[in-house]
Amino acid sequence: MDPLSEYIRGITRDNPIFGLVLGLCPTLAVTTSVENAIGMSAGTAFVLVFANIFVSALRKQIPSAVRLPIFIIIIATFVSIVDMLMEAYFPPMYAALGVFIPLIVVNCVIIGRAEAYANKNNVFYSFIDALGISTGFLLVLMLIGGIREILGTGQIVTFGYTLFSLPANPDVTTMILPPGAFLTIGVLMAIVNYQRAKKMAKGG
Amino acid sequence: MTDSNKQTVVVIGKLVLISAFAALLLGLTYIPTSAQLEENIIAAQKEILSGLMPNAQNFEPVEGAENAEGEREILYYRAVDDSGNIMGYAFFQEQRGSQGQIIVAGAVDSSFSNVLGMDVLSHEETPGLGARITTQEFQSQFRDIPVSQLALSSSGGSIDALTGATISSRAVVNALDTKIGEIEEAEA
Repeated sequence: MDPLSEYIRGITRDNPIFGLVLGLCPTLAVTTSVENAIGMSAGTAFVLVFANIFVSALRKQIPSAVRLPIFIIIIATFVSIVDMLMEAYFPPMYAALGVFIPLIVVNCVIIGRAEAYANKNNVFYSFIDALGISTGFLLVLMLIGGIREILGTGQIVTFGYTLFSLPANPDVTTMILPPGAFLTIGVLMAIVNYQRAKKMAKGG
Repeated sequence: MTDSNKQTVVVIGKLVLISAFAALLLGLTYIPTSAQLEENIIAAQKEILSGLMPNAQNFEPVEGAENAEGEREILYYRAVDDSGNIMGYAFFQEQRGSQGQIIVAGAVDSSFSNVLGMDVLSHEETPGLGARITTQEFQSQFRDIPVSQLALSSSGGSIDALTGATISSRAVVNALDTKIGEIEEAEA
């Protein structure tokens, strides 16, 4: 196991959305803009990194009968910290992400990595795994958020800067609304699976 | 103590330790963030006040009597123009809505004849129903209307209640009505 390939694995093969298909609820809900996607990913990354580190560091001390409650205590603690920090220092983003910040507690990506990875690997590799999965989560959320924001508003505005602007605004409001999330993720998932099937057929 | 008893005690001990550590971390985060939160609220209040009365130069807080902790609560604000004349009064009022407390901001002119506007500082109303008290359409109904018209249209006023959210609409109207009465009495 080398650290770099472990990091890349979180973006490609074990990508939380297209690989593990975990954490779809926040993915569908908050990807109305690139800005929200970055905010959600940052919150999730913070929780995932610290949860993985603590679960891994305590893994020999955690009695297996009560490991899930302990994971939840660790995760909920860091989610509450993110919740308080974001409310105090980024109020507009806190208002936009709303209930999905407290819901990181039950985001299956985080408890999934605690159970499947951090509980079995050392602190360093758990940290790398968290970084990789977080990066994968961020990239996919930004991609979905970007597609929805461009089609819905004709431009991408992130933290007050217009990053990209179409000459004509397609103004497909549906893309900002919940159906847009399902359509986007469905099309992307089909493309990813098609590529994967092609690779398999080649004997990959 | 038998082996299984000992194990139970160890498990409980570990759970207690982890919970205590979690509580400590949360406490350490709470202290700086709660101070920042209060600053955010003050900034949001300022923005709402100047949105209601854009021509006012300054909002002078009017404080109530000292409470048990020796703190004075701000009752309302006197809005003054460049030369120090009172243009009107702005205020925040808490009122129970259908789901929780609604904090409404309002402004009235100096003769207590016209309501200048309404805004919502915070609320917990149902999204899509009561939460529409924050929309422009609803709030514009409160812009520059005679105080006598400040009632729901079903009670003879000029405010149309939000469909499916009569309780929230009435709460906003009552909050303004009560507070304007209080200020008028205090200023008389």
